[in-house]
Order: sequence, then structure tokens, then C-alpha cells
Amino acid sequence: MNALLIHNDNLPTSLINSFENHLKFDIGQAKILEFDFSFDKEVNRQLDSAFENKSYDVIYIPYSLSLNNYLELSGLRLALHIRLTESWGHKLVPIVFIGHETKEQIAKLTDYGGFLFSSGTFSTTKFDYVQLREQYNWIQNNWKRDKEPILSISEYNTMLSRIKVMPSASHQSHHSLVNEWAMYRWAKALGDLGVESQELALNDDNVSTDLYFKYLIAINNISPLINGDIPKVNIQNSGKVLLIDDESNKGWYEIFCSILYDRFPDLIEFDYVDDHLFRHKSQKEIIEISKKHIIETEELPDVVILDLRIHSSDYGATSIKEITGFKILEEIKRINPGIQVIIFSATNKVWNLQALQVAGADGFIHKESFENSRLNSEFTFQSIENMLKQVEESLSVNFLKDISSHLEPLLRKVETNSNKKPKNYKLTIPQGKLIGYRDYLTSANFLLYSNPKDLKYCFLQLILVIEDIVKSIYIDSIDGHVVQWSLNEPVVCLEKNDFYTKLKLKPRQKWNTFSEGDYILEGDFEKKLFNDQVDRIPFNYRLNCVLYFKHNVQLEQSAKYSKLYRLRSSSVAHIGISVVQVKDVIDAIELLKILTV
Amino acid sequence: MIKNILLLEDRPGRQAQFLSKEQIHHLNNLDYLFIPKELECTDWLHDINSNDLHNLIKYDLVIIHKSSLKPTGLNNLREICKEKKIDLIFFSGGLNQIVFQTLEFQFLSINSSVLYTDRLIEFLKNYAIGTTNRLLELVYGQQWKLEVLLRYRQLQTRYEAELNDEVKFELEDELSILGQTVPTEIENLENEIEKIFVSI
Repeated sequence: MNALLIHNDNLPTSLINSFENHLKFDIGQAKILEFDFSFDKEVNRQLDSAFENKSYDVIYIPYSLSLNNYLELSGLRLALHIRLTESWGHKLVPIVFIGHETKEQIAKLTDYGGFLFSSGTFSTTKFDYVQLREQYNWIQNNWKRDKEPILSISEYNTMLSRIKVMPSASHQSHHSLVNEWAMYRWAKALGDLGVESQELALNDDNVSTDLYFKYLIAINNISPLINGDIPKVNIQNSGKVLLIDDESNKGWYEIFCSILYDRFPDLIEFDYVDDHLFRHKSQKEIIEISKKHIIETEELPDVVILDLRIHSSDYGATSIKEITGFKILEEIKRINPGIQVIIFSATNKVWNLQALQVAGADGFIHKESFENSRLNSEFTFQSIENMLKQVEESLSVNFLKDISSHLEPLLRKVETNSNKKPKNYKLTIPQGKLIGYRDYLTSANFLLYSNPKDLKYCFLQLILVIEDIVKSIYIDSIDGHVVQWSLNEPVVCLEKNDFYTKLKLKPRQKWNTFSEGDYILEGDFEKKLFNDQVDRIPFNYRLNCVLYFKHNVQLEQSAKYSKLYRLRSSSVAHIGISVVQVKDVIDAIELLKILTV
Repeated sequence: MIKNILLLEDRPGRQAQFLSKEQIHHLNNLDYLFIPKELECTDWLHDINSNDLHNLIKYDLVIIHKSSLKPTGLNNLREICKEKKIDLIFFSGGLNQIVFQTLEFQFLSINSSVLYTDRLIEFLKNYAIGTTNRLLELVYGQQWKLEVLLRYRQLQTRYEAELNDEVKFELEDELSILGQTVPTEIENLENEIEKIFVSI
């Protein structure tokens, strides 16, 4: 008979020898003690070769393949592998279990009862070859009259719906399962990266041999991924990308190196937080390790690709806010809100995504689940493409990090001083004014992030505050135009006679070494506009006066701030294309820092 | 004589995942069980990886998280267990099939969820006082007898069908040894098996 008997010398020798095709499935003790041993891997290793270029009509297996523990019932697990492994070509072939026990009895000892009673699964209590051959003939000739004696597709699908395969404890969290699956699919899509990387090869081996993965692939009817073209997203902006994931070393690092650094070595600097450092650490320690890595590296990252569930406590978390990745996101945004954070996680709950967005997440890429693979055969390629687009998008606004490093201290200073008791308030601008400025600066901050591609809205908010401060300090008094150097000590800064208008520069020796004397404004254009109405005095002139008299900024140094107001007047305050550059925003913030001392 | 047991668990959080606080407290206070904590556990693992096993040989049973050892450590452990006939239990979240072997020494490989159950403390007690040395009792509890009876029946079938005298003698020996563990039950094998199946 064209049948295969799988055994472990635990059946009568005469029976084994009668079979033309038999496979001894033996796992030596040394094998089990190997570092990467798993029963499922061993099944694959031994059956891969047993089925190579072979085609059997029936497969015979004893319930148990162990000589030491009958209740292992490993024959059942092995048979399920045959049912669920497409590549062996025997998933529809009848399987006969050999043993004294009835199916009902075995079903009491295992989770695989549904499989035992599915179509195409038979049992025998006979240990005699002649009797097995009779059963073989019956299966071949009578089991399915006028039809091929194998399971039909509908019977196979019914079997799938009835069997129950449980994940191992290490796969009981959705997260670890999705992680391995997503990693497996990405590596396959990128041209079988497992061939080059030891870590990815191990993951590939785990996914392709684990019975639970096979079961999920079968019930979701997922086809193997055919190596496709790597998505053609062109990254044009440069910057530093950091990966924080508790499974970086298991393969994500290799994958991101492949799609980012290897393809764009001149543009992308890729780094990761070594997740070995996370082992046996508390959530707090993991957050500190991540934070330290970000702060202590030579330059802050432009983009962080961040996993959410990093610590074991995250699996029992009832709120997204308790999850390690969420807390790391908050820390990153505290360090510098301009750092772009792309969340890379399996979570797809809307309320989680909303909370992450509120906390400052700039992008979200979904780690591929089995459901994604089932519903969309292109999901893997689309995810990789979306990730690349997201990184490119994030790098294109990497200036936010620079702006933030200037704007944040200013915001903090304004916020802190707004809340101080008046008796403790020390800034030279009135506290009432400062409270108003706080709202403008907050608004500038909001506009910066909500529309980073057009900086004019943020810039305008900053200029409004600058204008107001200058206007408050440069005042029209009875004695002429003065800069309110302090409340009781105004400094006259403008004198006018019949011939010319002059900027009076008689600074106090103690804080300025500028040579005494009159400074005549240069340029006919500005001279022409002067009159005794303070509001008509050109803004830049007033600004220079304030910077010079009140803040001891030399005219040569303050010249760069003059262009800000020109920019505001020439284009920013008008509808049309803005020409505000990152540097202009940073200069405006610097100027505000001086003015708010 | 009380037997000594060593439990090397490098992730204490896992116990909390499967056991209650009371059970963990109980486990930590068993005289015959030693569970090194944190750095001490790390030192133990380091010693095994470095083949420094003089402390290990004091124990009759070692229960250890498989993934906490390096490949060399696993090999060292195998050699010492073989030489000193130390019973060994591996547990890990990734082990998806119970495997039990007795070729070189008693060795059981199980998933963490099979180790940390209500049966654990009872098993450790029975093992320590010598009521049992069957590691499978940890997995099957009172059903260990069914395992022996089913295995006995399988052996008997092989014995009866065997034509080679030499092999037949070997099988006879095996049957005799196995039969001693359940002497009463094998007298009425089929009925005993049926009885247990009905009770499940």
C-alpha cells in the first residue's frame, strides 16, 4: 500500500517492517537540550525530508510517539502539522491514528478532540499489517464513492473551523504574536532578509514551523508572500532616526537598517536603543534608559520609531496612559516636542490612537496582524511604503526640533513668570502684559506644529508679541521719544530739530561702552518718515533703540533683527506665498528672549 | 532523607502571572526548595554557563528557565545531570509540547504555564519527602497512573507481537519494571484503564 507509517519504535517491529514507507520520529535527549529546540521545529525538520517529492495515499501515526510518556500524545500534534503545512502536499490526505484507545478516550486527554472527529481522520485499534491494509483499501475504495479519497476543500475548511490550536505561553499576548508575524512578513517582502540576518532567520524559522502560526495562516487563508518590489519611496531629507522597540534585536533593527540606512546611507543615520538593556528592568527604568539614550547621544534624533508595549506590565494595562511606549512618547515630547515620533504598534483602538495623537505622536504605522494579511494581500508592501513615507515626511520637518529647542525655553520662562506672585516677579516687562504674551506664544507653538510646512502663521504670532513689547518700551513722553529703560529712568532717544532727526546715543557708561555722541540715521527713506508721532517712527528704528538702550545690544548685532519686521511687512502679513525660513523663526524667538529678560 | 530542589527563575514576574501571592509566599518558604533571587540567581546562571557546578550537585532536582542559559550552559547542565543523575525540569514560555525522557537522566521539558499551577507545591513536597520521584506527576497529578497503564498496554502489545527473542526479553524487563509501579492495577489492566477514563 502507498502509505507512510510514522513511529518511534513504539509499535510492534513486525508492523513497522511491513510498511514499505516508514519514518522513525525520534528526538534524542541531547536534541531537546539544545538552545533553540522546539518540538514543532523538529517535526518540520524530519517531515520536510519525509515528504520531499513523495505522495502518499494514507498516513498512519500512533497517538503517542514517546517511549516515556504516553500522554504526550505527540502523534496528534504531528498529524495537525501535516494538515496545516501546505508545502508538504499532504494536508488533504487521510490520517489513521493507531492505539488501543478510542477517539472518545483520547479526546478526554487533549485539546485536539475536534480534529480527531473531523473528516479524513480515522483510528484503529489493530496492530496487524493485514488489518491495516484492509482499512487502507476501505479508505481508498469506499470512504468516498466516485470521488478521490482525500478531504474536499469544504471538509478541510470545516475541519479548520472545528479544531482548536492553542498558542504557547510566549504567544499568549497579541503583541508578541503580531510582532513576530509582522517581522516575518516585512522580511519576506523585502527579499527574504532572513537569508542574511541570523535574527530574522530565527524568526522566520519560528513562524514557519510553529503550529499555532500554521493554524492562523490556514484559518485566515493567507497566501505566502511573493517577494515584491521594494516600495519606491524616495527619501530626500536627511536626519537621524532612532528605533525604540523591545524586539529590536530580534529583527526590527535589521529590517529598518535595510529599508533606511542601506538604501539611503548618505541621508539617514540610524540608531536603536539596545533592548537587551530592557531585560528584567522595571517600566520606570526602561523609560529612563530610553530617555538617557536620547539625551546623551551627540545630537537629538529627528525621528523616533516607537513601539508601545515594551514592559511586561503593559499587557495588563487598562489605559493607554499606563503603557511604557506612551510614557516614553511623553518624555520625548518633554525633551523636545519637535522630535517626530512615529508609533509602530499593533494597537488599532481608536481611543488609543486619539490619546497618542493628543500626547504628540506624529505618525502611526500599524504592525501587521493576521487579520490585516487576510483582508489585504498587499498590506505588507503598503505598510513598508507608508513607513518610508512617514519617515520622509517627518524628516522634512526636522527643523521643528531646532525651533523647539529655542521656543520651548521661552515658553517655559513666560509660563513660569506668568504664574509667579507679583512680589516675586522680576522681568522688566509688566506681568499683566506677559500673561497676554503667553497666549500669543502658545498660539505660535500650536501653529508651528499644526502647519509646519508654512511657518508664517507661527512667525506672525511671534512678531505680534515683539511689536507689542517694543511699543510698550519705546514711548512718546512729554520730553520726546524715550525708551523706558526702567520705570523711573526713561532715556531720551530721539531729538529733532529743523535740519535733521537724530538718534541720541548717550548710554550710561556703566553698562555700555559705546562712544558718546549723536548718531544720525542713515538713509533718506527712513529719515523721510520721521515725525513727532511716535506711531509713525519706523518699527526697526524703535526696535534698535530698545535693544540698544534697554538691553545693551550693539547696533551692529541688532541689525539682523531688522529684517524680521521687513519680512513681516513685505510678505508675511499678506495673502500669498510666504518666504519665512526656519532661521527667521529662530531669530524672532531669540529676539523675544532678549526682550523678555 | 529530604531531597533538595533548586528553582532558577530569572523573571520573578512570571510567577505572579500564574500563581497567587499566597502560593508565591508558600513557595518561598519551603525548606527543601531554594529559589535564588535577583543577583544571586544571575550568579547561579553565570556559574552554570561557566561550568562552575559545585553548588549544583547538592540538589536532586533542578528546575530552570531554559532561555536563561546560554548554549554552553545547557550543555554543561546536561553533562552534570547525566553524571550525577540529577533530575531536570526545563520550563519556558516558548515550549509548546511536553517532552519527557529518561534515557540519560529524568528530564522534563514543559511550558511555564504547566510548571506554575496549583499542583506545583504538592509535587515539590511529595518529591522532597520521597513519596514520588516521577516528574510527570507535576504535569498530570493523579493521572500519572493512567500514563503508566497506557504505556504498559502499548509495551505489552509490542511484546506479544515480537518475534525476536532478544528484543522480547528486553521488553519483558521493561514490562516488569513498569509493572512494579502499579502492581495491582496491571492485574486488571483494561478495567483499570476504562475506570480511569470514565472518571475523567
